[in-house]
Amino acid sequence: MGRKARLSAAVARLRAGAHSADVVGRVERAGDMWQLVDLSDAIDLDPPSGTNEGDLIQGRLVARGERYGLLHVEKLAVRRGPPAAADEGLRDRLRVARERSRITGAIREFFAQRGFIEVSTPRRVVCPGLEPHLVALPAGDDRWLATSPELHLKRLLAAGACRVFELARAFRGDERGPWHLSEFTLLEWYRAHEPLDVLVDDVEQLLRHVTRACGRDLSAFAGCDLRQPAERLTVREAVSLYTGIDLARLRERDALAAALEQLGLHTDEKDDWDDLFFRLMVERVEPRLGRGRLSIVSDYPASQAALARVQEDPRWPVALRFEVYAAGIELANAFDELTDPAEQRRRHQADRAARARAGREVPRLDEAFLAALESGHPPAVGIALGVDRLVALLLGLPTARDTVLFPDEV
Amino acid sequence: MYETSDLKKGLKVEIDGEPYVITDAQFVKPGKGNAFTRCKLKSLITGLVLDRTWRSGEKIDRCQLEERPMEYLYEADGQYHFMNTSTYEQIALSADQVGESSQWLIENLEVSMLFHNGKPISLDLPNFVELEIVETEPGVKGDTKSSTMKAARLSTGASVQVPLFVSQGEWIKIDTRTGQYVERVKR
Repeated sequence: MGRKARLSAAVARLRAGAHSADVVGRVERAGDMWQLVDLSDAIDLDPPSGTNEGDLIQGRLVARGERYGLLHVEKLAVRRGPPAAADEGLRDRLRVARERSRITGAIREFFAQRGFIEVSTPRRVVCPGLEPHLVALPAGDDRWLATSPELHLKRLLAAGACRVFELARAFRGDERGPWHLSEFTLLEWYRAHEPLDVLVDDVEQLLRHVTRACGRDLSAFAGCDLRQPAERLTVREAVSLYTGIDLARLRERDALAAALEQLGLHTDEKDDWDDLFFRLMVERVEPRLGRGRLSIVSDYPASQAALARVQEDPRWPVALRFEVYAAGIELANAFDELTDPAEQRRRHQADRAARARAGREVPRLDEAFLAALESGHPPAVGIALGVDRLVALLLGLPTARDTVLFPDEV
Repeated sequence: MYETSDLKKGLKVEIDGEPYVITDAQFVKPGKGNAFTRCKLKSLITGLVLDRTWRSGEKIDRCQLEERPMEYLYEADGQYHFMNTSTYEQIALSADQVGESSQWLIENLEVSMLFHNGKPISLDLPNFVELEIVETEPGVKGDTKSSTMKAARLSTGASVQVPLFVSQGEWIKIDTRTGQYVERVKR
């Protein structure tokens, strides 16, 4: 074997009988055998010293779960000395990137099997989405970076597409935290002519599919057992269960504020009803969701409908939406899509007025989107899932920030 | 006043007139609502922990803290007496207020005292203090290699672990942050 030379290599192509593999990873000596133990782009290849192209080395290649016998070194590109260590953290994050790329591969496979087409919509848009609490980032020429691809994807449904999905970059200013990146990856998918519950099945099956594809345990997805059906509850039920408050009886701002104070929660005089609702959710409800199994929380207060249809009810009107929680983290948000052009225009105008009052930028209306609704939009359901969060939860990383290559820059 | 974007671990803020230090701050943002910052805080007076969530746009009071250089004088009847080295004003703290710091207090030690609205709330010791060993087993001369430690009692009453080679009557340097022996010193 000779002395143990420390080598780091870019790529080695190893062949064993009819099998060959490009080795990108670390080879470890196990007795007089060689074992590929770590498939990774951060490379430390440690072959016997003096190994050359064309040599046979006695070894055992364990790659992609299969074991091969004799290794034939077909190509060996070797970099001597330690790898460039300008950013040690980046080497670790490259390992995560390899797992992440397996996850996005599995996502594409999942949708291809179900007849979806993958699409790519513009990132620089006239209207970045108008929800009053989203900060859009300017992109020059009177355009904005999209906060979500939803408006363009709904235009595709109006044009006749039935099943589309996109892995889209989305941009939101003023959102930086362990689970919020100002530049992040959204998976959105839409189904025309199908009910909202189909998306619940999609989410459950998708999570099982990617978990299996990564060789992970279905019973341990962020503490949730994916073999169990998700917990289903409405917002009103969830709030009542964890706080004892019946939201439908406290639709006045001051009444809800008093109930929060009774629970010992801080409130502020400038909080509106929705702010108070979110204080309850953030402090008392969300941390309890997605424990042991996924939670699907549906029927949000009508004031938080965004692009979802509203089910009118004089006592407690709700937006036909659901959110998916795992380990207390919101993973996805689904809509029974609003397709009424007049109602959509009214909501967009109201959102623009709210943005102006809040001192936020007020983008133009997306007339192409509104025209698409007017031309006849099929009934449809759609959902957005945070891919960075999915990767973090699936791989057991502490935050969504740990799933990207350059976390300090987003 | 602070904005929610200023809220970070280690920042000191005031809530209902009481000083707190933030021990954890997390940005949270519901999909269809305002952003919030969830904080865990610790009272600088009682040490009690508090959870508090602020909505983006809320203002948070700054904490008016002042550090004053003090010299430790003596202890009497459970009261620890200090003197402000610039004004010569004297102040006494209770054993509770001094807490675990009392085991390193030696006469004339220069410390820093934190005041909130004129009231002392905490004591900051130098990182290292030098103290005399008043009681330990006889030293093993020359044994500077062995990593075995033995117990020793210091002039302030504190008990520490010291290497075998140090003896009664010698002075040693202690790291007040860990309470551990650092080295033997000549006096």
